[in-house]
Amino acid sequence: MGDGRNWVFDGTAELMNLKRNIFTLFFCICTVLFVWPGRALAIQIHSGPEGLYVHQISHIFFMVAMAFILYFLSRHPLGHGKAWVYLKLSFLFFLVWNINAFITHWLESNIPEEAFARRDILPLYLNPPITFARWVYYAGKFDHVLCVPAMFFLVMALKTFYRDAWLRSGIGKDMYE
Amino acid sequence: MMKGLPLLPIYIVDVVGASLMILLSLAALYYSFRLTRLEPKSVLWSYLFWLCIAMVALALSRSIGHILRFLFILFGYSYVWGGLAPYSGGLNTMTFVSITTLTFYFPNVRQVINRVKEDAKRLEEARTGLAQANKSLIELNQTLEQRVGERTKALRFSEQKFRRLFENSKDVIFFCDNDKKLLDINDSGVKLLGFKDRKELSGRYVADFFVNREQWNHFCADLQSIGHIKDFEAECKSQDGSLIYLMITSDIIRDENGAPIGCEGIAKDLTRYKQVMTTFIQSEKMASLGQMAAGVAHEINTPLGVILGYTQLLEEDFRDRKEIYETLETIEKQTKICRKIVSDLLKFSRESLRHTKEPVDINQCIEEVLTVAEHSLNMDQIYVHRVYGEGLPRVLADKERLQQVFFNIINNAHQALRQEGLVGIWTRYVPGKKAVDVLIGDTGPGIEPEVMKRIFDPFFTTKDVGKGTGLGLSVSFGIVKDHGGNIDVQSPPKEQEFVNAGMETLFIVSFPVYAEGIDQKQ
Repeated sequence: MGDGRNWVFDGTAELMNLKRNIFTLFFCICTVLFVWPGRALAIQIHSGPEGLYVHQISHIFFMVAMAFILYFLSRHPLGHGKAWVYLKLSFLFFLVWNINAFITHWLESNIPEEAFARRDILPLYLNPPITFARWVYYAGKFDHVLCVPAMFFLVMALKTFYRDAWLRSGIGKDMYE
Repeated sequence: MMKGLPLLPIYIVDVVGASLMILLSLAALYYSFRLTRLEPKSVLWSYLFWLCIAMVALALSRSIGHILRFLFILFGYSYVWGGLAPYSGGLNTMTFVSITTLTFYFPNVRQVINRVKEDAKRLEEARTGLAQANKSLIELNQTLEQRVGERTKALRFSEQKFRRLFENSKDVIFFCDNDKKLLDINDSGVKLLGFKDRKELSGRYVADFFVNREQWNHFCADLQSIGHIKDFEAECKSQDGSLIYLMITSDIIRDENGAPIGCEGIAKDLTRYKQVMTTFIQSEKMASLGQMAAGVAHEINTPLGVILGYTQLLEEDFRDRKEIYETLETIEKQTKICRKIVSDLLKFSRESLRHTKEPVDINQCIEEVLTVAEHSLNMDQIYVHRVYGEGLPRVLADKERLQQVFFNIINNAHQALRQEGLVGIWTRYVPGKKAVDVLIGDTGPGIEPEVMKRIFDPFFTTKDVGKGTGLGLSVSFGIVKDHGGNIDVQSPPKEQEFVNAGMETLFIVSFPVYAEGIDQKQ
């Protein structure tokens, strides 16, 4: 694919194709659900854990997506340079954050309500015994330690991409030189 | 004893982290937006832009769980949080799915790019191919123009060559369709057939020009069966009815499938050749006859002299015996006739005697003949019409023998007319052949073609037995030939002038003019 700075897709028609493909995918999913409802029947009553399961599954999706994009970029590099490093780091942190979130959500669902010392609604402590699971849960709750750097690296990557594009275009050449 | 693990640090990190997430996601969205503005065609920037939108949505939805949640609880609105919590979780889930979808789909762009690149490559190849084809086409076009030009030039040259051959050929060149109707004929053919314009001949049947129908059928049959015919001698007639002898070589014309579409041919005019050959044969015949006649005359002359001598002696002896004397007179008379014949035969033979030739004025020579003959003619109410050419050159001739020729012809005219009629005599100088023509015609019944063929043969006569020897014209023929001239007969005359004068038969006697200082015999 060559240098990322030169990786400029040259064709609006292909962009239109991409959008059309997304729409097609969406349409296919809807069509499958519509013609092949299984036992869902017309109206399905969802039980309590369903929201958590969907959320957990979406974490898995996110996780797999990040793993996939990292694999793809390592297998077929679209470019080289700091921006790409930042971007890969961002994806990596998001991947780890998703793993952490998935585990933390799972642990949280297994920790009994009495484990939290409450005053009013907001719990202030995680009561003993502090088991390994509870330690892991406690550590996992600091997930912003992972997602904030992930977002930070994404910003850095985009900023670097933007600077390169700016220079490439010649508009901001003087500013950066 | 340990109280437990404090959750406050977690809350603090949540609030700060969620706030940072919002700020950072907005920053990311800003840069991705600017990137898409800067390079709108880039699919990567497009992907990142949509990813950032999803990230902003994620950050905002998380802020509900990690910031608003504390605020609501702290300010005693925990029930509000209870209502918002499912939305926060649901929104988070949706953003995850969106990010996943976008991320999974992005690599497909690579394939799209590859396909586009391949398409672009194919397009470029097609463009290059088209350019090459165009170049080749231009070269071919240029070459084609040059080749067409060369071919056209060659074709024009060839056409001109064959056109010249067609137009200038002295032989007849013709083209016919399948019905043997003339499509085209060259000027020689038009002239030979007595027409003025080839348009007059276009569409005319070739058969119309053939005298002999059987000959035409034979010509067609041979051409049809063999496909060509070579040196076919045909007797044809021109528009004015005169005979033309043609030697025709012809071929069938066929189309690309081999089907006959007409014929083409060349015809050579043999009329002159035939005339020359006829004259030659006649001359040879006359020469042979002359030799024979000379021999016979020489051999018979002596016995006849003896017979005549003894008969005259016997007449002297039997003068008193009437019966015998009359018999002897008959013998003497017949013997003299025989001697006359022998004498004529000797005259016919050119080799028999040598004569003295001198320049002779033809007009005067004829007038002297008429001085003797005209009286006899007038007696039978036959009158002479004279048209003498003025200032005629003289001819080298034996005057007496020339007069004998003219006398013979006039005498023949007299006998043909019997009573009442006109004898026309014309003299003229023909510069083309440097000869003086004497034309003697009569208004008699004319001569049959069969008779005309033998008219100069010795002993050939149409007169009653005993009235003519059949040697008059033969002798005249011999005399004319002896003078290097020519004698011909036309019945009816070919020239309109003589037809208008009422002539039915016309003798044309030509003598070469006398040139001073040139040995005429040579």
